[in-house]
Amino acid sequence: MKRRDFLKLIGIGTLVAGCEGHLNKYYYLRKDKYIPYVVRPENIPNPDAGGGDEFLYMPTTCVGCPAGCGALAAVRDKVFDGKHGIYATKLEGIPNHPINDSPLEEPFNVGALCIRGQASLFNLYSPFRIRTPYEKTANGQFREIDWESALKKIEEKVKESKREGLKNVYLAGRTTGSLDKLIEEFCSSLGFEKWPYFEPLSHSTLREGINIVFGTKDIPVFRIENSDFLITFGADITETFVSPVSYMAGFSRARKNPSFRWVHFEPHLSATGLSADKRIVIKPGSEPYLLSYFIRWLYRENSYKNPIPGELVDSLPKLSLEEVSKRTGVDAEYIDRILRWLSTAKSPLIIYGGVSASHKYGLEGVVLTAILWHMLGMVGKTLDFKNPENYEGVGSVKDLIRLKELLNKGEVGVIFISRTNPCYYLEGFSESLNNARLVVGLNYIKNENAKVLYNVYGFKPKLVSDDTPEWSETLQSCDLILALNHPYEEWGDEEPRKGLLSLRQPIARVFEPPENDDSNNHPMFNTRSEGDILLALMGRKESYKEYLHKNWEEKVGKEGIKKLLEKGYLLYSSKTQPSFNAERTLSFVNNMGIPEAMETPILMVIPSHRWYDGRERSNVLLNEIPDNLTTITYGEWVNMSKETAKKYRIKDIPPRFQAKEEVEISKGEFSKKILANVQPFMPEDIITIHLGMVSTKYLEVEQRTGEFITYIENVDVKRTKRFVSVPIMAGSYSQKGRGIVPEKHHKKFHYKYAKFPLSQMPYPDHSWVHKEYLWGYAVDEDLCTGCGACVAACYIENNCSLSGRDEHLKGREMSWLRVEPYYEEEANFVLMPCQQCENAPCEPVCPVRATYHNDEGLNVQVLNRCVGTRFCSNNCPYKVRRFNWLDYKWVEPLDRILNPDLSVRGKGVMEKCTFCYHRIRRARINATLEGRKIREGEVLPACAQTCPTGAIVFGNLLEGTSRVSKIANSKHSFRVLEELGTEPKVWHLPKERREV
Amino acid sequence: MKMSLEKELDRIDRDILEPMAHPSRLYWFVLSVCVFFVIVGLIAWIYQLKHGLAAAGIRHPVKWGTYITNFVFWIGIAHSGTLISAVLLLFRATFRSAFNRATEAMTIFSVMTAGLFPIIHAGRPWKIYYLFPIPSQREIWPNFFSPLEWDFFAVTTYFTISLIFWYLGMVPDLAIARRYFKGRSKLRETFYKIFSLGWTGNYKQWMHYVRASIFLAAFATPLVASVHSVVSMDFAVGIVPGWHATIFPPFFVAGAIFSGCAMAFTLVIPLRKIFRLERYITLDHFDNLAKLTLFTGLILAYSYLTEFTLPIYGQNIFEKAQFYYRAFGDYKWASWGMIICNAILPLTLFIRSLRRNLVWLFILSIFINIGMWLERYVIIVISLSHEYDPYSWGLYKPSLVEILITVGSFAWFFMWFLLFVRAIPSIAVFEVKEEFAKKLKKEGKNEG
Repeated sequence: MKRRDFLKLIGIGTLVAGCEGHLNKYYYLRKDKYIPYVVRPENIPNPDAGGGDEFLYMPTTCVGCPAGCGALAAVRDKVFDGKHGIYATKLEGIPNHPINDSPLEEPFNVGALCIRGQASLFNLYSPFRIRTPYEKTANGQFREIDWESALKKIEEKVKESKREGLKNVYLAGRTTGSLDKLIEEFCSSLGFEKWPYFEPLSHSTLREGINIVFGTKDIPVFRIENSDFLITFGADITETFVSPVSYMAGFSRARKNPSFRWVHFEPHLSATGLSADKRIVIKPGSEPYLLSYFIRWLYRENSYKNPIPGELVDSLPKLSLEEVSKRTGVDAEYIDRILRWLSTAKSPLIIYGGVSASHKYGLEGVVLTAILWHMLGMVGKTLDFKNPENYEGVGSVKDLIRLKELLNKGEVGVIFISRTNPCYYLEGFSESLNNARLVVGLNYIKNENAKVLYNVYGFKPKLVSDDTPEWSETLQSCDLILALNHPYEEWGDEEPRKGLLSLRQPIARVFEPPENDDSNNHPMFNTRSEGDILLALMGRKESYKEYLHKNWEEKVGKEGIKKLLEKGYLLYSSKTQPSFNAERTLSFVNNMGIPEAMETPILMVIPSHRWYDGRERSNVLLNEIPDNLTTITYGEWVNMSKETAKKYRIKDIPPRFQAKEEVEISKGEFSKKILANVQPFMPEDIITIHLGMVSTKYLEVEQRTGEFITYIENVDVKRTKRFVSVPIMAGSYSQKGRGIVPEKHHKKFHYKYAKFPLSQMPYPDHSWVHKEYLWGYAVDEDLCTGCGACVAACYIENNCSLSGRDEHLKGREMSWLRVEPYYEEEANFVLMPCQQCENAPCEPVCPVRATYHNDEGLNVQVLNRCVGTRFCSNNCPYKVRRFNWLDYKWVEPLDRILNPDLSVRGKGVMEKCTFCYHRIRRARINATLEGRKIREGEVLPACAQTCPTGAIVFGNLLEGTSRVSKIANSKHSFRVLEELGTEPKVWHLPKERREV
Repeated sequence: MKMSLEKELDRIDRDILEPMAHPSRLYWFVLSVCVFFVIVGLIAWIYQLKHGLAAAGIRHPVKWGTYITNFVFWIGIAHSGTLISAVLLLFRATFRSAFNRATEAMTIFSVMTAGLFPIIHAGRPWKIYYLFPIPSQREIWPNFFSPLEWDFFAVTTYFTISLIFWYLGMVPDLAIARRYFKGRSKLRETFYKIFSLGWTGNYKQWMHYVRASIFLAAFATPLVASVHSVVSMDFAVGIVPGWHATIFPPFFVAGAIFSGCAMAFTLVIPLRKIFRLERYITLDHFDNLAKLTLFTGLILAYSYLTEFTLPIYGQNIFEKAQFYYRAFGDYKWASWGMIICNAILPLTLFIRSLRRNLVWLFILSIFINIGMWLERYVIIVISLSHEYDPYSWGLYKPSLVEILITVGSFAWFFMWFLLFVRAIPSIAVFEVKEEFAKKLKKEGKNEG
C-alpha cells in the first residue's frame, strides 16, 4: 500500500469514527449545524481541495447586478482580528448554470462572470461597510446603538403610527425568492404596505411594451445562441443590459455559426456596438421609424411567419425608404440590406432596450419590436418566456413619485428603505422623508456612490474625494440605520429568473466559537440579515435560515433542497409562452406618438459597464480597472466626438498627458462641471455621461411607463478654461500604424523582418528544455468584447495591488493584464497579458537572474531575488511588467480578499503575469498524484476561466491537438509585435470584419 | 645659476602648496553649502528608502529617469581624468601635467558619485549585494549576460585602477608636502607621513616609480574605451528604439571624454584663479585641452547626425517614430538643448582667441555639462516614453526627491573636490618641476 493511500484510509477511518455526519461536498453536520469542510478537524480530508490547498468552492449567487448569475466562491480558512473564519477570495461562475454557463464545451466550461461579478467581493470587503446599527441624534449626527434598542425603537414607532392611523411603507431594492415572500408576510402582519421594488434600471418601458403586445410583463430570455441574425437597438448586451453574461455566452455560441451576423443600432457609442459586426449610428429617438418601416416592408414582401392584422400595418407611419433614411440617419442601402438579411434569416432576434428604450418614444420602439418578434416567429425560438427574467414586483420611478407624494402629505408613519438609494435618483425624495415619523434604512454600504480615490499612500491618506459625504443621501435622511449582512455573508436565495431558484450561502463568516451555529448571526461585523431582522420584528422565534428551509421544502421538496445545496441552483418550474394580443397592440399603435427630431446637443445619461447604475461607484476595484472605452480609471468625464469638441473649442489633449479640459454642462436647474474627453467613434452632438457620475434627479420621467428619459436635449456646454489631470491609462488611442493588430490599413507601414532562424538568434536555443509542457495562450479577438472581466479576475486572483488615483496619474497601475482599446478605421480591443516570450528580452538583462525561463516555457519572476533595477521592464516591448513602487495597502477589511496561493509583493520588486502559475502547479500536483500529465482544460488562468465569451484559450503547445496549438499553427493568427523576434506565446485571432 | 634653480624650485613648492594651508572664507562658505546639500540629498534618499521608489518621478513606461541619467553622466565625467593622465602619459604629452592631478581626482570623485546611483535607483538597495559574485552555498550567481552586471565589474575595476594610479602619481608630491608642512601642522604631518609611504626620492625609487606609472597607464588606457562602452551597452543591448544602436560604444566614449574635458574646465579655471596658479596652468594648456574638447565634440556631432539620419532611410518604423518624437515631440526642448550645447556651441572652439579666452571656456564648459546631462536624459527618458506599444506611452517628470538627490550628488562631488584641493597638491609638483628643469636645460643649450 502506498503511503498516501494509507493516509487517505486513516483519514476516512477517522471520518467514519467521528460523530460528524456528511451533508454534501461543502458541509458536514455537527450537532445539526452546517460546518463547511474548509473549517474542519485535522483528520477530515477536504474532498474538493486538490494539491493540498485548503480551499473549497462553494456555490452562491452573484450580487454584482440583478442578473443573478451563479457564482462559485473559493473559500479559505483564515484568521483575522483573532477570529477564526472562512473568507471568500475569488468568485467563478458555476459551470452549466442556466444563466452564466460558459459558452465553451467540456472541459473548458468552468464558469463565467462579468467584471462586476468578479469585483463584487470588493463590496463584501468594502472599507465602506456599515459595521453596526446607527441612530440619528438630535443634532443630525449618527450614533452607534445596539440591536435590541434599535428593534425596540422600531416596534414603538410602529405601534405609535398604528395609533395615529398612519401608513407604514416598506421600500426595497429588487428582491426575489424567499426574502420577497418574507417581506410580504412581514408587511401583512405588521400593517406595512409593500411598495413596488425600486430599481433605477427597471426596464419598465420594455416590460410595459411587452405587456401591450403579449400581455405579460416579463422580460424574455434572449437566446442569442439560437439566432443567426441579431439586431440590437441600444441594448448594451455585453455591458449592463439585463443579463450580460448570459448574452455574451449566447453571442459566443452563435458565433460558431459562420453565417451569424449582428447589427447594432445606437445613438451614441458603446463597447457593445464596437463588438457587433456592424455598428450603425441612428439619430436619437428615431428607432420607431426604422422599425415601422421594417414591419411594413416585411408585410409587403410577405416574408413573415406569423400574420398580423392589416390595420396594424396601415396605422404605421407611411414613409418611403428615403424619408426613413433621412429621419434616422441610417444609410438607405443598409436598411435595405438589413431587411434582406432579416427576411432570409432562419431564426432572427431583435433586442430592443437600454438607451433606445429610455427616450420619449421608447415604448413605441418596444411595441414595434414586439410586433416584429411575433411576425418573425421569434417567440419560443430565440425568445424564451418559459423562465423569464424575474422583475416581478419591481416598480418604476412613477411608484417612487407616488411614494413621495404620500410622504409629502404626511401620511407615512414608519418607512423602511432597504438596499436601495432612492434619494440619489429622485429629486426631493430626501426632503419628503422628513415627513415620515421614522425612516429606517437597511444597507450594508455606507455610501455606494462614494467617489473613491484610494489615495492611501503618502502623508495625506484619502479614501474618497472631499465632496463625498460619509453616508449616502438616503441613509443621511434615515433616523435609524440597520446594518445588514452583505448577501455573501448569509443564507438566502434568489430567483433571478422565474422558476430558477438560486442559492446564497455564507462565503464569508466568522466562527466564534467554531462550533456555535451556522445561522446568519456570525458575519464579519455587528450586522444582521434582513430576514432575521424582519422575523424578529414579527416576533417569530425561528431564524431566517429555518424560514428558508421551510420555504424551500414547500417549493422544491427535500430532494430539491439537496440538489440546491449541491449545485447552487435549481430549475423547478416554467411558464407557458404568451400569445400575441392583436387588439391591445392595435389600439396602442393607433395612438402612437410620432417621434420628432431631438434638439442637439444631447446629454445622454448611460449606465456604466463598471458602475452599473451607480451602485458600484464605491467599489475600489471597479475604480481601479479602466473604463473600457476611454481607459480612464478614477474620475468623472463626459465623452464627445472630435467635431463636437471643436464646435465648443474644447481642446483635444492626447491621452498621454493625462489631463482634460473641464466643461460646464447645464440645462435649467441641472449643471455639472466635468471633464470633456474626446472619444473616437462618438457621433456628433451626443455627449454621454455615466450613471454614478451624475444622479438621475434632473431627468424627466416617461409618464406611460415610469422610466427615466435619459436624454437631456439642448444642453448648454461651456468651457470653464480649467485643465484637470485625470488618470487615463492609454498613452495613445491609435496604433500609429504599428500593426499591433495588423489591420489592412497598416500594411504599408508594417515592415517585416525576414524571419530569423532560431539558431541565429542572439539568444541561446532553449527549446530542448521544454519536455512536457509549453504553455500557450490565445485570444480570439472576434469574441472579445472588451468587457474587462478578465482584468477583474486577474486582480483578485493574483493579489494585484490597488494603487489609487494619484499613483494612476503617474501610470503606476498594477494590473497584470489589460485591455488596450485602439481606434482607427476599426476599433480593436487587444488583450495584453505577459506574452511569456520564448526569446524574452527581459531575461538576459536582469543582473541577478530574477527573471528566467522555466522548463514549461514560462517567463517567471523570482520575487525574492529581484533587486529592482527595472531593466526588464524597460526592455519589454509589451510593457506588461509592473513594479512595486511602494508597499501597497489593502485597507481593512479589504485585506481579507488576499489569495494565500501567492505572495503579496513588497516594495521594490518587479512582478508580472505568470499565467496563474499557482493554478498550474496545483494541477500538476494532482496529475502527478494520479501518475499522468495535466489534461487539456484542467488548468486555466483566472482570466480564461471567467471570460464570458470564452475568447481566451490556454493550453499546452507541445500537444498538437490542444486548442491553443491549433490556433498557434493557424494561418490567421498573429502575435503582437511578432517582427521583433521575441517569439511571444500569446496568439491573437483577428477580429473578422464580416459584411452585413 | 644653481642658486636660482633652488630658489625657483622652492617657489614652485610654495606656490602650489601654500594655498592649501590658507583657505579663504569663500572656500569655507562653498564647502558648507556643499555639505548642506549632501545632507539634504541624504535625507531625500532616506525618505525614498522608507517610502519606496514612488517618491521618485519614474513611472510606468519610463522606469529609468534622473538617477540613471546621473549615473551615466558621472561615469562620463570620470573619463577625461583617465584620458588625460594615462593616455597622455603614454603619448608623453607634456601639457597634461597642469591638469592631471585635478582631473584624476575628478575621476575618482565622479566614479564615487556615479557608483551611488545604481544603489539609489534600485528598488531594493539593501539587496544590491545580489549583484556581487559571491560564492554561496546555493550556487546562485549573478547573470553574466546582463549589461548591468558588466557595469558592476566595469565600474569597480575602473574605480580600483583609477584610485591606485592616482595615489601612485601623488606619492612623490605627498613626500614634498611632508617636507613642506613639517612642524606646521600636526595633522598634516601625520597624514603626509603615512601616505607618502617613506618616499625619499632616491634613484631606485624613481626607477620603480616610472616603471609602475607606465605600467598602470597602459593598464588604465583600455579602460577609457571599455568602461563607457560597457555603460553604453546598458542601452545598446536593450531593444528599446533609440537605444538599440551599434554606434553607442564609440558615441558614448567620445561623449564621456567630451563631458570630462568640460568638467575639467569647470573645475580648473576657478582653481587656477583662486590658487593663483597662472604660472603653472598656462593658456597653452587650456588651448590644448580645448582642441581635445573640439575633437570629441565633432565626433559627438557626427554621432547625432548618424543617429537621426539612420532611421530616415531605415525601414524600422519604431526607430523612425522615436527620432521624430525626439526632434518634434514632447521633449523637443531636451533634444534641441542637447544639440545646441554639444554640437553647435563647441564649434566656437575653432576660433583660436576663444580657445584662449577663459571666460568663454568656462561658460562653454557649463553649457557642455548641461548638454551632456541632457544627452543622457534624452536617450533614457525620451526612448522609454515612446516605445513599441502606443498604449504604454507616458511622460516623465522628475520629482522633488530626484531633484534633491541630483543636487546632492553634485554637492557630494564638489565637496570631495574641495576637500581634495586642501589636502593634496592639486598640481603635480614634481612634474612641474621636471618640466621646469627640462625647460631650463633647453634654455641652457640654446645659450650654450
